[in-house]
Amino acid sequence: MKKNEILVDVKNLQTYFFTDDGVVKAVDGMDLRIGRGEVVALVGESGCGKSVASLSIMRLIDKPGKIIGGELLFKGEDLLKKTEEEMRKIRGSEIAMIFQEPMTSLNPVYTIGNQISEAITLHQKIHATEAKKRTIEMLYLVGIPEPERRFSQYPHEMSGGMRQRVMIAMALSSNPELLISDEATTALDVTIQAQILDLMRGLQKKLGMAILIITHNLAVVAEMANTINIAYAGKIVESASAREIFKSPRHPYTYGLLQSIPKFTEKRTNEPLPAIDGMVPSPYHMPKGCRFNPRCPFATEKCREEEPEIVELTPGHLTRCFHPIES
Amino acid sequence: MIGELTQQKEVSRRVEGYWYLVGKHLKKHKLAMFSMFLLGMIVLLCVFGPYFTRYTMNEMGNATTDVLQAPSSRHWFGTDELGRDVFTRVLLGGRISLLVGFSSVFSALLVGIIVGAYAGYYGGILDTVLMRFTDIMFSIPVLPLLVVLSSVIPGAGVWKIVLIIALFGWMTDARIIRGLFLSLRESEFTEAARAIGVSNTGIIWRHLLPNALAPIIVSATLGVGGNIIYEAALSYLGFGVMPPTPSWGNILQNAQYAMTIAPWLVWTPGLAILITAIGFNFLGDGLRDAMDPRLYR
Repeated sequence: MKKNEILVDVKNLQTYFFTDDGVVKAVDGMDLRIGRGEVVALVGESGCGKSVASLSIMRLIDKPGKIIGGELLFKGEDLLKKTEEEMRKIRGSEIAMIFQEPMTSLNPVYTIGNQISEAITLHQKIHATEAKKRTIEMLYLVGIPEPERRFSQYPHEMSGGMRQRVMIAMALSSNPELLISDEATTALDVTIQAQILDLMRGLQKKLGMAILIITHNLAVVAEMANTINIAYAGKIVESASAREIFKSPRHPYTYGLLQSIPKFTEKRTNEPLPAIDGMVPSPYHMPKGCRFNPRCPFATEKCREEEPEIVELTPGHLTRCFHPIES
Repeated sequence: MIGELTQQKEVSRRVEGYWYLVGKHLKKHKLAMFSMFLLGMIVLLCVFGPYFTRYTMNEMGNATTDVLQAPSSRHWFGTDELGRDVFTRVLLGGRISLLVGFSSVFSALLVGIIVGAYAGYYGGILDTVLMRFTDIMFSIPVLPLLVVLSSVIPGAGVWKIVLIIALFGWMTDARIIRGLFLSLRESEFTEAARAIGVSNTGIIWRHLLPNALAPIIVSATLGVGGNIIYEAALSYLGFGVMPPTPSWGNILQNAQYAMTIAPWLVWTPGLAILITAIGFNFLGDGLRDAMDPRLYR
């Protein structure tokens, strides 16, 4: 497995929702690149299109949503050209996903063992007893104590953290090459959140799959991600290594996000926590020019007229801004 | 010490299957258990009872001594205007009534599940077409059509009645199931199932239908009682099971001519219908509680 081989290459993805009130351009020209075995984060505020982007990769966009343009290259093949039948074989076996709500993502009427076994037998032609063995192995792998007994428990008999472990076990049961984690730790307590992140990191090292972490919480991905992509209003505005993003953010939006994280190392002042002014633009009325211009402290006339292209400022550091902050 | 104890208790807890849990919780529901016992008795009596009674279905007694006799040790439920033993006839009628009740519910449910599940899951045009068809079926005046149907459909058998009741009985099920599927398809676990690559058919039948099972079973159980009453009403109007084949409905219809002088003719089939219908209601209620793991305490 070559580390720098590209696994996923999303090019100019456009996913629109055709509602009665107009067209919502949830994802509008998003680019994303994930290398084999790499951990990539997609960070942004609510409504920036990050969840829609992840569902688009799985081709799980439902009406009134539709992927209207772009390319979704997975191992060099365009997923948008696949039939639904072919996609179904890829889902769960090559690309797996875990969701935000562990409390409701499991079917309440089946035991967890039953559900993980189903995920296994869907993609691998193996016998039920073999699937059970594998399920118990998976439960053990994700750190669930007494996996044999847990096998026959119902989701309602488990805590949120345990259920999320079950979801991870289910997602990883067929050895996917890409795991998409859509706000997988958001609904959990901070302590459990840390445990789940640790688990994901450990499993990533052990199994070597690539992970796409979708989150609104920069702190979650700070330690884990190789690359961080900052999304704003359906586009990537900055993309760099985690270190670069935290040390020298070039886009004013990234800078604003980092400023709004409380820091405990600094001396306590009575200054209010800096926040980004204004609101996320309405998806029905995207501002002209740079989408961030109404909230940007550095916006000029050019920003209000033209939309900036994403450019590589330093190797590996891409920013979509006419006036990037000097590092 | 305490830790040891709790751990022991946890380890010794037995692995319980779904149906084992359903049974366990149903047993706690006294009224449902009593109803089940009662219904079981009624079914057993109707199925096996006629082999042990002294009279046959259409056997007529002596025209002067055996007609319209009040209940006695010879005729437990008395005799009718032709001198036939009412007890025997009620048991035999029960076979027909229960058969009609069960099979019409089963057929109606099958149609209702298919229509409701696909309309609710897929939505869009399919939903519109299927639901408008359901609406049309709902707005058809049943009685005039029954007159037509009973002359159009050949035969006078029990299956004709089952067909007719099922034909006009699936719409409520379809609506209930459609409603359930509309909300179930938006659930996170549906999305999760799609994300592991389950097909639409798999999601509908394996993931969503069991989640809709509790209301379906309640509806079905209530339906058996309801359809027994429906059969009685049809028989009363002369479109149901044709005499001399007895059913609780046509025994009751037959009884109206002699109601004032021989009230036992009304009481026995009437009570049989009442007890059975109530029994199915209570049982449905108990099953609803027992079949939903979310209601377990």
